[in-house]
Amino acid sequence: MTQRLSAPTAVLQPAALWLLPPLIAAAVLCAGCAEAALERLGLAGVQPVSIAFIVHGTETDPFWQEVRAGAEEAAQAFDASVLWRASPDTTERVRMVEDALTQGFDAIVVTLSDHLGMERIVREAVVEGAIVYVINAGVQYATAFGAAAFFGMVELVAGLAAGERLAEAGVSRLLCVVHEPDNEALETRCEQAEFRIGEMVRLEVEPGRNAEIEAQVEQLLTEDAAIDGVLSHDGWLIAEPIAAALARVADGGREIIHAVFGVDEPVLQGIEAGQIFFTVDQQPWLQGYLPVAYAQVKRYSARSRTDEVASVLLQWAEGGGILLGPGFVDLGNVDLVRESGAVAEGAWWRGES
Amino acid sequence: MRHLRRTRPTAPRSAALWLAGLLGAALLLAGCAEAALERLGLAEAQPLTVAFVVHGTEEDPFWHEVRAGAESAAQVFDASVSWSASPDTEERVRMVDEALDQGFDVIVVTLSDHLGMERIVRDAVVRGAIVYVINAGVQYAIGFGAAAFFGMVETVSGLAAGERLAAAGVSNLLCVMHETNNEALTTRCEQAEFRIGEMIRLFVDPLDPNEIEARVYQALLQNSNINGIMSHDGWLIADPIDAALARISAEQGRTLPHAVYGVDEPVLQAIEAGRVLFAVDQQPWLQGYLPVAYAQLSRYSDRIRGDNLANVLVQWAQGGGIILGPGFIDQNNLNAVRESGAVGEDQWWLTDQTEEGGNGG
Repeated sequence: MTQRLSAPTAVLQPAALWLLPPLIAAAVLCAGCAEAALERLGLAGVQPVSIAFIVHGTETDPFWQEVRAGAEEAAQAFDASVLWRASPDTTERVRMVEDALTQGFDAIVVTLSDHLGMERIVREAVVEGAIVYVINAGVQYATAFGAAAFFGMVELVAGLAAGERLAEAGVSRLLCVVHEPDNEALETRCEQAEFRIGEMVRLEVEPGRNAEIEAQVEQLLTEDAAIDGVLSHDGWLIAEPIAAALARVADGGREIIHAVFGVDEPVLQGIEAGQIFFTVDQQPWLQGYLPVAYAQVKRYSARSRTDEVASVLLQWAEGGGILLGPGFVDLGNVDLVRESGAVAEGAWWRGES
Repeated sequence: MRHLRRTRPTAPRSAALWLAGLLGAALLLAGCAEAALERLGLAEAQPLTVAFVVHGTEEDPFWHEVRAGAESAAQVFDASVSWSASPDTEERVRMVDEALDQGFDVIVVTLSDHLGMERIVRDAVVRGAIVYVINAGVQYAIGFGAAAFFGMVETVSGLAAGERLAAAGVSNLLCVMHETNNEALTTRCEQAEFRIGEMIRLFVDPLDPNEIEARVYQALLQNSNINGIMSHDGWLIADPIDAALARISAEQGRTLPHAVYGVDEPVLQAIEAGRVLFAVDQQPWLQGYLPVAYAQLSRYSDRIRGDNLANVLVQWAQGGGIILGPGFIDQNNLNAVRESGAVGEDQWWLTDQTEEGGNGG
């Protein structure tokens, strides 16, 4: 069992992003006293809000377990009922949203990893009177489709900034390892990184099949001697077999820089050991927590507005949502990330996977 | 006296700053605005008219910087920018009304007094203008029909500043307010109070440094519990407060952490010297630059789609705008801030201005 940490966003609003959630945690939740918190917010005895999460990331992915842990913790704290459904298949997700609408859910939370496939159903949901929030992917479409808020990372900026850092480190030909063929966000990151770096090679892999990933990466690196950098997504899940392949290639004297999206304990260790150059954080726990918290606090905003912390959340998110990344973790701030994780350890900051 | 003023980045490599830097390098290239427009496929674009109507007055260096950003973008993106400012809401409503009559394509406003501005903003949208909100009012912008917000989230900045002051041991804060009609300042003070416990407001006239020094000194003499201070407009306001703090320190041996909103060279020096605990940055230059750049790029978004950086800006801002703060600068990241400032020195980052005297020291 590993402990997973959401790291602070070092680039966008360094203090602000990770300050608010601990404050909400401390002031609104206080573990085990959800009822007192609701009372304090004037929300005792309110109708619980019902929220359906319909996301593209599957149950086996630790990233999505963390998002879900955030959603469930908020559900407890704010007396909301959360339904969680996931499928990588867009048609399936559209059907899931339809089901949720039929069942009368107050709020629907979706990802726009395939924005064209989701557009119609999102617009319909809004017309039918549901509150729609977008998380994780699709900041540039959320508002236009009628969603009330977006909680997640701006992928374009993340990819461009990651590419910039890799280019500065001397990378001129990048291997971009894609583990979800249907996720536009990954394409965006790879393309934006390519824009700064110059050359990029794409490799599709299937998550979970580590031996196969390792072999694929090693083979490609052997065939293409010009590749001097690797970018992967989804934390250690995908980084592990790549790191193994890189270690074997390194035995032959070749050094390749590896950058990762996603923060987990093995990735932090990889950064400390110098195996991983940096990782990009997008605060998955908050991608689950904030939509639930915001939906409930907003619904009763007439009452909760008098609470300072609730009011901050309301006002911040009313600007169209809250951007949770990109944050960069490298040797320069990994200690800080560990420290801030430790601070909140007793509260909500930890998800188990 | 010629004085160089520089906009400072939020934190080492703030994403927003860094994007602007890229845009600067790739789109602008000083002196070849035409080539940039051609590259973007905007060579024959209709010039865009943008009216800025803001609450910050001409005397305030912060707003000089916002304006410098707007004018720089106007040159690069072939836009014509009109600039009007008044601290008086009714006056600003009238200014917006005039801009609408004159047929400006884009109106950029601040919502420092959101109730006073609501009707005219909604009117402007109905009359077909594109409205952007900068600097103040993120929580109202979209609701009023504005297309984007560029600026800081004040509730968050106040809470985070309060948190830092409380961590430094402050339990009773003097919050010095230089604009009576600006909700943003009230929000910051109240949010800071929420973390700190006790807060006293002191209203001052920004243009009378002697009076500011005297009144702050008096307040500190009269209330010996005050153990922290917050001010809101860079060195313009921080300088006389700094003088009052020096007197109190000399006479009573009492030292108070001083937190400042706004970043300029004297503030950086004061952080270095330990006289200012930290500064909060909201990237004023970009608050002027981005609305103009975004307006022109999104207008021709079908043409500029092929350009990656333009695309990034358009798609980023389509999410409701770009949040430019709060960024915190203290002794820990001061050097990084100076370094990154220097990086952009020969590009757009630097504006050359004649500064009036009166706040030296």
